[in-house]
Amino acid sequence: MVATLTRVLGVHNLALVEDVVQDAFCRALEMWKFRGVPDNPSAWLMATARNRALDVLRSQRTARKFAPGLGYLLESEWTLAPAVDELFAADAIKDDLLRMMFSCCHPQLAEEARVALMLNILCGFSVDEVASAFVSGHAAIEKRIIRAKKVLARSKHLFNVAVPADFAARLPAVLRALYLLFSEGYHGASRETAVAPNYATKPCA
Amino acid sequence: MSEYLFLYRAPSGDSASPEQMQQIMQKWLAWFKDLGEKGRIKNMGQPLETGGKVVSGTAKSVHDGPFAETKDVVNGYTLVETKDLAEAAELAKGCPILDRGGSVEVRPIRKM
Repeated sequence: MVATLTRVLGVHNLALVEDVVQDAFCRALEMWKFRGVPDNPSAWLMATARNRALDVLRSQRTARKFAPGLGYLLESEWTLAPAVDELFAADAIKDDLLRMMFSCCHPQLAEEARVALMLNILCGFSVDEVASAFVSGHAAIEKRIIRAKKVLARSKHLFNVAVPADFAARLPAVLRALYLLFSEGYHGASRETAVAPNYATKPCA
Repeated sequence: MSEYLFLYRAPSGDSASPEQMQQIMQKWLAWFKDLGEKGRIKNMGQPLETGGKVVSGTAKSVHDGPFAETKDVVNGYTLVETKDLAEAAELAKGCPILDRGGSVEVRPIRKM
């Protein structure tokens, strides 16, 4: 969800993306309390996020710039909804996850920062959960994540996975980050090793 | 390069199921993307709701209208920039509304 919304709203609007995700989950909590969990919860969440994204795009299109390359398509009702729908389509979502993973492995970020970012943004880990994965304190991890997000937001656009040379150059970093992500789950040195195996299997957003 | 306005008119009584609507919107998206890539779009414009108000005459009377059943209701517009009227008309041929029996009126912007 985060990955697709970042594609739609632009990486420089990362904070807005997180607000929209929060919104979708809040709405889910409210609605599902009364009506019960829907048959397809993730589809429900994605549809809610999509609608919220449309609201944001409509109300803020004069105030903000959104995803580069999509600009003019988001300005007109002729193309706004279909363009957003294309981005929320199943194939596009898989591409978005990949793109987001590569974007998180920013050259200006230390390895630990990249992994912390992926855990927080893509896997939805809270700061405390990331902190126990790293056997580190809450404050230190929070600072690390905030700094990493600033670096990510400053990049002009999401990483383009279609350029072979760039892809190849960043692939080792992505593989290493994924390795760390999974190895922390299986062999986390934290005191709560019983919880650690959960990390490796926790579904990524 | 000059500017031309496209005024879209659907045939009256045109209706489509939600699935058909989705497909139609996809065609519009593809057409606009194509025009956009060619650098021909000045302002993509907006689709218009049917049913508004008509304010007319020296009496400035206000009536409901136009209605969907009325012939020649404009249901959207786009502003394009092309070499000349002929090119604008040629581009208009790609508009999906034509497949549904509608029409595109192509009008040069008047420089006052």
